[in-house]
Formats: sequence, C-alpha cells, structure tokens
Amino acid sequence: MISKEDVSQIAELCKLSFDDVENDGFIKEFEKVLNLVENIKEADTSDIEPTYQVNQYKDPFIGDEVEESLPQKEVLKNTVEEKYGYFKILKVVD
Amino acid sequence: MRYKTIIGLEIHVELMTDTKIFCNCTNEFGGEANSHCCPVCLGLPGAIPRLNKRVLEYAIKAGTAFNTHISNHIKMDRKNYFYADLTKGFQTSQNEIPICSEGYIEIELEEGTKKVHLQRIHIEEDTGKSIHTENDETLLDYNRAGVPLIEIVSKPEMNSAEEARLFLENLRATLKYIEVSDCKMEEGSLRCDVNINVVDSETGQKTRISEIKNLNSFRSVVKSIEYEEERHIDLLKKGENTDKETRRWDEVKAETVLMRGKAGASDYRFAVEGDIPPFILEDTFINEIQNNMPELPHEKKERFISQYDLSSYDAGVLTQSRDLAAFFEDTVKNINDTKLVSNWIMGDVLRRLNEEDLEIDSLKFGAKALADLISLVKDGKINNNTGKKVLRDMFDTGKDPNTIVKEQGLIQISDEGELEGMIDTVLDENEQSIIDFKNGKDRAVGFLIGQIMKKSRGKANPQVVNKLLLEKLKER
Ligand SMILES: [Zn+2]
Repeated sequence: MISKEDVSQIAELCKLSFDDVENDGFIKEFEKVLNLVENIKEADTSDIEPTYQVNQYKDPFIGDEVEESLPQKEVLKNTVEEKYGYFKILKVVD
Repeated sequence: MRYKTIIGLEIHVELMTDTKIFCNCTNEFGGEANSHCCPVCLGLPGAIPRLNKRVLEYAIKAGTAFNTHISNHIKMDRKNYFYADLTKGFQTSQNEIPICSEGYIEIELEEGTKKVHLQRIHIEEDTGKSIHTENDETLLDYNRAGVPLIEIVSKPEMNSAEEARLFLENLRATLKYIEVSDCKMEEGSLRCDVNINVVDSETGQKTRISEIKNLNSFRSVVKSIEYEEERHIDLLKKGENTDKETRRWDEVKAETVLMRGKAGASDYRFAVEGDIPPFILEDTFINEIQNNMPELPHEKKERFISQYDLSSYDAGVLTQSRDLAAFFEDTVKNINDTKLVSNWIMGDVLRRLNEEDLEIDSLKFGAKALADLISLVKDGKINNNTGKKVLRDMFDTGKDPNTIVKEQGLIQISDEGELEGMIDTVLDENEQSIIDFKNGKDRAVGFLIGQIMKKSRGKANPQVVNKLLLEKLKER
C-alpha cells in the first residue's frame, strides 16, 4: 500500500508540491503501477541472469579524439533566457 | 587520548583525456561558456553516449598505482537527482560495480608507515558549472558537463588533519606521476570532501558524521578538519550530538557552515544506465596497462637512495614531483656529483621557488645551466657566495652562468701575490684588529676576512685568504 507520506516524499525529491486532491490522485495511480509490478514479481526468475541491454555493441567505445562541438548559438537556441552565453535561470542554490 | 577523530575522504579528480567521457567534445579547461557542448553532453533527447576508452585506461592506471583490485566487468549506473548543473536529471556514474575496489595509500608518520585503505575508485561524468549572481539569477555553463572524473573513496582510517594532508599529498603526487590528471586544485581538477566524526574512548559515545563538501585546497581541508574536530569534541563534552549533515567551509569566517541537514538527504534512486551496455573488458587491455606503469613516487625515491647515495629525506624531497626529480637527474648527467647537486637544488633553488610559490617547470634556466654553475664553484673559478649571486641572476634573467661571470668579472681571485697586496692594505688600515688578535680575540680574524672580501668585491678565494691572513698576522 502506498501512503500519503510516500507521495509527499517522492514529490519532495522531485522538487514538486501538490495539494491534497492531487496527492490522492497520485495514490491511485501509483497503486495501479505497483499492482502491475506485483504481477510481474510472480514470475519465477531464480535461475535467470538479469538483462540490462538487448543490443550488444561489438565496440561500445569512442576514441579519445576531439571533434568539433556545436556553435554556442546552436547550444543556446532552445533556451528561454540566456546571458553572456550562459543559460539563465532563477537562482537555485543547493 | 580520550577523543579519537575518524576521517574518511572522497576525492574527485578530473582526468587529462583529450575529450569528454561520453562524447568527442574537448576536455580543455575554460573556454567561452557553452562552447564545448554537443547533443550528448547537453543531454538532448535521442543522443546516445559512448564511453571514451582512455577513461578506463586512466582509471586502471590510478587503481594499479593505489594497489586496488581491477574489475573487468564494466557497468555504468544512473544517479538521479534534480539540479540545474545536470542536464539529464541524472549523473552517469558507477554504483554497483566500481572499476577499482579495495587498495591502499601509504603515509609516512613519525611512528612509522601507515596504510590508509581505499574503498573504491569509480568513473563518472562531471557536472556543469553554475554561477550565482547578485540579481537572483543562476547562470549555467555546460563546458564541464561530461568531463571525465574518477572518484576515489578512502575508508574512514585517518585520525588527524595531518594524516589527511599526507594522504592527499601522496595521492596528488602519484596521480601526477602517472599522468592521469594535472591535479590543479585552483582549476577544480582535484576536489575533496571530508567525512568526519569523533569517538569518546571512555564512554564509547560518538558524534554523527559531518560531511564537508567541495574543499579546493589542502589548506582548507586541514583547517576544516581542525574546526570540525573541535566542534565535535565540544558537543561530546556537553553530552550532545550533531545530526548527520552536510557542511561547507567558509574561508573568510574560518568556520564550517551548515548546508543541509538530515531532512534534505538525497535518495539517488540508482538505476542501470541502459544507454551504455555492460561489457567485459579484455584481460589484455588491463595487463598492457599494468605492465607499462611509469615509476611511482616511492619507487623513484628508493632508486634515488640506492643509485645516487642520497639520504631518505633528500630522496623524498627530490622525488616529490616528477619534474623536480627529472631536473635533478638531468643536472647529475652534466656534473657527476650527486651530493653537490642535491645541495644546490634543495637549498637555493627550492628556497627561491618556494618563496615565489613556483614549480620547477617555471625556471628560466635548464639543468645544463645549473650544472655549469655548480662546476664553476667546484673548480674554484668562483667562490660559493658568488655562485649564489650568479644563481639569483639566472633566476631573474635566465642567462647562462658563464656569461654572467664573464660580464660581471666575477672570476675568483686565487693568485697569492694579488691577495697578499690586499691583505697588507687591510691590515695597515686595521691596527686595532691586529692587537685584538694578539690578545686572543678570534673574532678579529672574521672581521679582517670580511674586509678583505669587501676589498676584492667578493671575488677572493676564501680558503686562500684565510691561509695567507693567518701567516701575515703571525709575522706582524
Ligand atoms: Zn559533448
């Protein structure tokens, strides 16, 4: 079972806040997802190695060779605000 | 000692690869903001990272130098957290299987050698850089996003600020020796977090761990440990405790300041990095690196002791950096007198460099020039004091010592006839000193030698002057 506190804690980690009505909505949605996972858990996987990836590259590496980066203008193209070539956002201090 | 301090260190080191860890953008420090970026390091949708193999090479080199176990199973994980300097909302790192585990670094204490064990070394990407302005803005530059890092985590086995400093010095020297990082703390290529708490050995009480983040000089590591040590002991004395919390060092106030307490603790929800498939590294790749390790600081020190017949202390100083050790060896190649060379380098050369806070590679003259200077002194062409003066000129102008000696007419006067003339003049001018000498005042000799040296403008051969003066004094 998922509690109201669980939802608030997850919201906090995501730096989001919700009112009570929204919170209750999430409880129902989370439960649906968790129930699905419960179903999957019923499968017996005791003898099965975990699979992280199905596409095996033969050579997963890049060489240590510099190639041209994007022009600064291109990098900043989609941002709402920029200043002196930086992305500008409201002040956030960790 | 009633209170025992327990210190563990986490060190982030930027690697000197040419490119970033998952893309071909340059790994050059600085540059115009957001000019070293591409879809991969900006975390744009659909961009697929691929690992730079040299990052593995450098991590294995470091792991080998620090005696760790190397894993041939490479797997990357996503460390999730929300912060604007992370473009993707997660940092690609290694959680479950670090590339290096266990291992140790040795530090020399008065009571002997201490092994400080390592927990792990793993590879990960650096984050972007944020600048907070006065106008409530945060400005973001992602040139550093995706710069390759190794994170070195020690076990909590250090017990004083001094031990932590020695650990870091050994770590930095080694990483520079094996050329995986320039370890420039002022440019952030070596950054240190400290975990510290204190145990009361009488009551068994202990404080909770404080983590001091992002220290960027050895001095601030030492100062912040000393500060926290005292804070924790005071708490224990009062029967109080501290929360497990994160703090930062305030250089101006010289104190640590709370950043976030327990409530803000992160939950990183590690997940497998699906874009980089786990793989097994060939043994040949690892063996090749391990069989071609450069000489490490302690190995070079041992070799210096046996090959050049130096004391352990002298060998330690001369091998503290690879460049300094190379300078010593190059000088010895040009003048085969290791004792003289080590005296000159450890004396006047290092003193001047320390005074000006410079490294050996900023000298304006080379090893050959220093060897020439030492030869001039050794062969008696100039005396020792003149040699020091010529060295000062070499520091300032980078001129060749033979040129300086010629230009300034500094060749030592050893000719007895010429010196006798000077000595007679000085004696004639200083009757009282002769009387003092006859009355057994030895200081008079020193004074007279000083006067003669002055008359020769510092060029007289002091040994010859000494001998002639004593003869003349007896005659008078
Ligand atoms: Zn890039």
